[in-house]
Amino acid sequence: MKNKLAIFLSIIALLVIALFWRQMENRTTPTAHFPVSNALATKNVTSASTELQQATIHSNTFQIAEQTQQDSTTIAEEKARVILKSRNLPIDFWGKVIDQDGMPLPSVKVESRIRHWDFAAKINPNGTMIKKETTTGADGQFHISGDSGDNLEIKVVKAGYALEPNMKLDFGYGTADRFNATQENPMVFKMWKTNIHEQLIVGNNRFHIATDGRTYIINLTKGTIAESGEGDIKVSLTYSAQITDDQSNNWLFEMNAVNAGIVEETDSHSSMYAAPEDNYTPTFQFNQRIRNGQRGSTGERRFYIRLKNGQEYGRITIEVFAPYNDKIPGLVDIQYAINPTGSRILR
Amino acid sequence: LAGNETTTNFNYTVDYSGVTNPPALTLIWPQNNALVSGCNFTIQAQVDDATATVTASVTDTNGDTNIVPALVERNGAVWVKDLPLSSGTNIVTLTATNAAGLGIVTNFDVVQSAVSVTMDPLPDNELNQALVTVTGTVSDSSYNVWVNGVQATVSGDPTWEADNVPVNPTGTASFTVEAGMNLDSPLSGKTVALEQPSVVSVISQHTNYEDVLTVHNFCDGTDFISTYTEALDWTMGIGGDSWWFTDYFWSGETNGSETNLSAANPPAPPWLYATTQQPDYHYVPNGESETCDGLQSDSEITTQTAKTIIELAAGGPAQSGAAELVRLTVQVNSGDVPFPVSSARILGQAPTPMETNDEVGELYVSVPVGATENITPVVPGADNYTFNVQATNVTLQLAVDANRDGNITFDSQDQTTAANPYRFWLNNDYDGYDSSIEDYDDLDPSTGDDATNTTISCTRDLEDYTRLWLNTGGFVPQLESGEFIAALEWKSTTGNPQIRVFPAADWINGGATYLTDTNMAAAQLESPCGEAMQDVNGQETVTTNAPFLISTNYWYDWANGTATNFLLFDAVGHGSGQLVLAIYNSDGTVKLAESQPIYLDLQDVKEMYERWTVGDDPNTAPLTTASVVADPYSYDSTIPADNTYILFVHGWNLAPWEKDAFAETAFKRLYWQGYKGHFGEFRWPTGYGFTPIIGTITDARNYDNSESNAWASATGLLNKLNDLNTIYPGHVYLMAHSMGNVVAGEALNLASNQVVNTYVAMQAAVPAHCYDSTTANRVTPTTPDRYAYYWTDSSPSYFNSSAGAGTYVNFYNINDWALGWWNVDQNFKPDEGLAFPGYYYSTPSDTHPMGFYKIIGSDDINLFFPTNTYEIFAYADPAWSYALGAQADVNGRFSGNQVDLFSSPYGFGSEHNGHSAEFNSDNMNRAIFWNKLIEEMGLSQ
Repeated sequence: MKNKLAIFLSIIALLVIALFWRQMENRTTPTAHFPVSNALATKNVTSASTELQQATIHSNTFQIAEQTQQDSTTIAEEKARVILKSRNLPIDFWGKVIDQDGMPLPSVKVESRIRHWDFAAKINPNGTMIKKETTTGADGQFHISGDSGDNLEIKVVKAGYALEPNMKLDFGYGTADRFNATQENPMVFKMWKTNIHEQLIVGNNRFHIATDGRTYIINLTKGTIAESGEGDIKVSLTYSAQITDDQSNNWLFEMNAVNAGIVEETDSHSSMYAAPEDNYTPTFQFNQRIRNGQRGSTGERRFYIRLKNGQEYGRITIEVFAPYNDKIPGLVDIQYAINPTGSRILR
Repeated sequence: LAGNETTTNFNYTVDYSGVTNPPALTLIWPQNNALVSGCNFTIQAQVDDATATVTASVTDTNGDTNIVPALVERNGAVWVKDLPLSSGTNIVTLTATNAAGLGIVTNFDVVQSAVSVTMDPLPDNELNQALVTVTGTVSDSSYNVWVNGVQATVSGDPTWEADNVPVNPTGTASFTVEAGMNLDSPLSGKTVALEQPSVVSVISQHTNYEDVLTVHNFCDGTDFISTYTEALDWTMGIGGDSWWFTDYFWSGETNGSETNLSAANPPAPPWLYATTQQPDYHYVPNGESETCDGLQSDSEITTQTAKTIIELAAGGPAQSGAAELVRLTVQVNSGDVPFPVSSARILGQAPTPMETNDEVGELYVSVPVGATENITPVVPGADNYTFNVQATNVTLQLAVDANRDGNITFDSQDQTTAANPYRFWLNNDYDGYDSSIEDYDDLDPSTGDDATNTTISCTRDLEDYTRLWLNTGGFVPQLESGEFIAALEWKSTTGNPQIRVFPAADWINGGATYLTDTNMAAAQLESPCGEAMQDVNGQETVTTNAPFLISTNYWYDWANGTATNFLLFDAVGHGSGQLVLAIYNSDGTVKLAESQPIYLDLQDVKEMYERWTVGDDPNTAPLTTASVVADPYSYDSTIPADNTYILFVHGWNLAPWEKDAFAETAFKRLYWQGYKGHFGEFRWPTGYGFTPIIGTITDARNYDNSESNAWASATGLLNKLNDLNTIYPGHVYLMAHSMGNVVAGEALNLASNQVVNTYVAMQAAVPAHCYDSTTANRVTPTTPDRYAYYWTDSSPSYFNSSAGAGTYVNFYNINDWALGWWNVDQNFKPDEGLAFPGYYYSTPSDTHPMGFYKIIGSDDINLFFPTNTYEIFAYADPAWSYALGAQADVNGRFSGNQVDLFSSPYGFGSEHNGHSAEFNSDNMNRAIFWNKLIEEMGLSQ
C-alpha cells in the first residue's frame, strides 16, 4: 500500500457517489446491518430521495446527519472528519521510569507525541501530533491523559542516564498491540547510568549441524562448534521427515548449558543488559511437528546464560532451522555477548 | 615529366600442393581429465606452424558450446584465455589448421573441481631465486598440495605453503599448483590445479663488453681498426660463480674460443659481479710485437664500454599494444661501499634518471607483453663492482566483487571473463526524499534520473554504486608527482558503457560498509567522496571516447600508502566491454602499461530480473496467464544465476512504474545480501494514483475494487508458480507485500501441491483469520467471519488447507500504519449503496440463502459460496480479525515462523513510511530486514 490516506478518502468519495446514485435509483436501501463496536466507525448510507440527499454514518460515538443541498466537497469533508475521528481513542497511559537497579527515577522528563486525526485544511497522512511533556514523580511514575489518538510515542530524558535500547516506546491504540499501562501496572522504562559499561565478548555465528540428534558443543569464547571438546553450550537437533499419524512431533531441539544455566527472556523489548541472579535451568527444549517440505524453526529465542559455574554471565539469541536447504541440513544462527568478569552487567 | 606512370604486374600462384601434413599441435596445459579449480581456465599449447589458425571449443554438461579463437605467437605458443569452466565435465576440442586447410584436432576433458585452490603472487625478493617459497589457499584442508612437484604444508586455515620450489631461472617461470586428496604424490591420481599456471616475469642478466680498438701499425703507417665483442653471460642462481664468453670476435681474425673466466670472489646471490672497465689492454698480433722507428706497434683501446643488461620478459601471450610496467631496483657496491646509481639505459634510448633512495636506484620501465626488453644500469665512475638488480612486474590490476561474496580479491575468485562479466545495473532510477511518506524512496523516474547526477544524491542512492579496487603496484608516489598518470579506459566495447568513479570514503579498507553503516554512508556522501571524480581534462565520466586520466589530487588525498586503493562507481551508460587500468607518461600521451581487463556488462536493471503481469489496468479483469513485460527492456536470460527463483508480488496503489520500483529495490537489496538466484516480479491490476481528494473521488471504492482484482489474480499467479516450479523444482520462493498477500495467499490455497519452497508474507493485508481463527477478534459484527470459518460456522479457516508452500513466514508489524486503515476499510464492508452495485448482508433466509447479496438497480442478486467468494470477500464480508501483517503469533501454516517488524532490530514503527519500510529508506537501515528474509527462506550460507 502506498499513500494509504487514500483509503478513507476513497470512502468519502464512495459516499458522495452513492448519494448521486441513490438519487438516480430512487429506491430505499435496507437498514444498516453492521453494529459498530470498539468505537470504530462504519459506513451505512441509509436513504436518499429525489429531493433529499442524505448520508449518515452510524457509530457508537458518531452519527452525523448531513444537511441537504450540500455540495459534494462539503459532504466528503464531513465524512472524512467522522472517519478520522473514529481513529482517535482516549489515551490514558501510566508509565514508570526505573534505573538499572530497579529503583524509581524521579524528575525524568517525559516527552510524548499522540497521533491524532482531524480534518485540517490540509490533510497530513501522518496525522497531527499532539506534543506533551511531563515529569516523573518520586515514585518514578508519570501519567499521560486527556487526549485521543491512535498512537502514543514516549521519550524519556534524564541527564547522566540513557534509556535502555530496544525498549517499547511506541504504543498503538485500536491495533493488535497489547500492553499494560495502568496506574496499578504501569509501563516500565529502564534507564542506565551512562558510566556503566563492561567489556563484553561478542559473536555472531551461523553453524551447520546434522539433524540426527548428535550433540554439538558451542564454544562462545572462541566462536566455534564441534562434536567434542570443551565449550559452553551443547545443542542437538533431531528431525525426521518420516512421521506417523500417531507421532506428535518429529522435530526436537535441545540446548544444554555446560556447567552453566540459562533463563529465557520472553520480553522482546528487553535489551538484556542485566543477567538475572537466579532461576537458571540447565536445559531448553523445543519440539514440534512439521510437515514434509516445511522448514522447522525454533523462532528467535533469547536467553541469559550463566557460564563456568557462575564465573561468567552473558546473553544469547539463537534460532535453529531444519531442514534448512539442500546443502545445509540444520542451521544454528547464534548471537551472543559474554561478560568474562563475573559481573551480571551485559552493557 | 610529371604524371607518367609505369605499371608492372606480377602474378603469384599460391601452391599448397607441397603441404601435405597438418600442423603439429602439442597440448601443454591442462591435460586430459584435469580437475581445475575456478570458473575459467586458460589453455596453453604449442604449434609448429605459427601461421596456423587455432580455435578451442568448450562444451559443458548442458551441451552449451563456446568457441574461442586462440592467440598464436610467432614462436608457435598457443594461448586460449578465459575459457568458461562449468560444473562437471567440460569437453574441449582444440583445432589447428594451416594455410593449406589441413587441420589437426586434440580432444580432452577438463573437470571443474569443487575444491578451490589459489596461489599468492610471489614476493618481489623471490623472483630471482632458484628455490622459492610459494603460498596459497585450498578450500578443503584434507587435500594435499604440490607446487611444481613439491608438496606443500597445508595448515587448514585454509592456507598452504610450499618451500624450496624450483623455478626456471631465466625467462618466464611457471608454477603448477595441484591439490589431491589422500594422495602421496601429485601424479598418483586426480589432482586439482589452478585455473591456469601462474606466470611471473623474471630476469636474465648478462654483462656485455664492447671494445673498440684502433691498431696503429707504426711500421707501415696504417691504422687497423677493429671491434670485438665479449659477451659475458651470468647464469642466474645456478652455478652463479662463473663468467662465460659466449661470443668472441675480432675482425680479421679467427673467432675466439669459449673461455671460462672465473670471478675471483663471486658475490652471494642475488648480487652479481661486474666490471665496467678493464686495465689497458695491449694487443700483440700473432703474439709478436714489432718496433719501427723506435715505436712499438701496438693496439690502443679507444673506447671500451661495459653494460650489464637486464633482460626482462613480460609473461603471458603477446598482445598487440599491451605492455607491462616493470620496476627496476638497482644497488651497486664498489668493494663494500654502496655506490650511487643515477640512471639506467633502455636499449637504444638515452639513460633515464633513476629515483635514488638510500642508494637504491629505482626505475619503472614499460615492456611489451610477451616481449623482452634490455635494460642497462649505468654506473659511471665505478670500475669493479658488485650489483644487485631486481626487476619485478608492477602489478596493475582492477577488481570488482565478481563472485559477490562481499570480499574483493585480485585473484581468480573475483576474475571476470568475456563469458562471465561482472554485471551491474545502470543508476537510472531517481532516489530522493518523498514528502508523502517522509522518507527516501524511488521517485517518479519521469521526473528525474540519477544517471544525470554527478553527485551521490542520498544514502539510498548508494545501493546503485559498487566497488572498484585499483592495484597500482606501489608506485603511488610517481602518480602523486605526476611522473605517471593512471587511467581507466574501455576496450572492446559494445554499446556505450560509461561509469563515473568516486573516491571511496573507506579509503583504508575499501569495504562495503558504505552499504550497511550509516556513518560510512554519510561520509561517502560528503564532498569529495560524494562527487564524481574529474580527470585531468575535466571529464566526469569514464567513456569510450578517451582514457579517464586520474588526477594527481586523488593520489594525494586518498591513497592509503599501499598498492591498493579504492573507488566506487555507478553505471551511467548502457553497454559492455573491458575496463583496464592503464599507466601513461606524465603528459598522458604515451601509454606505458595496462592491466588485464575486467569485463563489465552495464545493464538496465530491468534486464536483470524478470517481470510478469496478468494486467496493469485496474478496470480490466486480470488474465489467468501471466505475460512477460518487455518494455523498455526484457529480461536477459543469459545472465548466470543459481538455481533458485524469488518471485515478488506487490501491494495496492502502485502505478506500473512503482511496481517495478518496489521490485527493483527488492532485487538490489537481495543482490547486496549476496543472493545469486533468479528474481522476478508478478504484476497484477491494482488501482493506483489515489492522491488525496480528487483522485479518490474520481475512483470510488478503489481499495475494494483492487482487492477484488487481487483475489482474481491468484489463478494467474498460481499458473506462473507452476511454470517456475517446473524449471526450478523445489526452489521457488514467494514474497508478497501488503495486498499482494491476497494474490499470493489465494494462489497457494488453490495449489493442489507444493509449488513454493517458502512463502514470506510481508505486512500482509489479508485477514489473520484466514490462517488462524484463534487470533484476536478486532470486531464482532453480525456478518459472519467467513475467513475464520469457510464457509459454514463449523468449517476451518479459509486458508487452512493451503498446500502451495512448504514453509510460511509472517513478517508482521502490530502497529503498521496502513494496516490500521485496513481495519477501517474492513469496517465499511458490506459496501452498502456506496456505488454501483451495493453489497449487503442479512440473516440467511430463503430470500438471501447465504446472507450476502448485492443490489443492482431494482434487483437483489444473492451471492453464494464458493462461487462468489472473491466478490463477497472484497466487498461484503468484513474481517473480524486484524490483518495477518499486524498480528503476532499466527498459528496454522505460519506457526512458529513470525518476524516482528515493529520491534528492534527492524523498528518499522507506526508511521506511514513503516508499511513499506523494506522498500523505502536506504540499505543501511534495511539490510537487516533483507538478511532476515534470506535466512527465513533458507537461502543463507
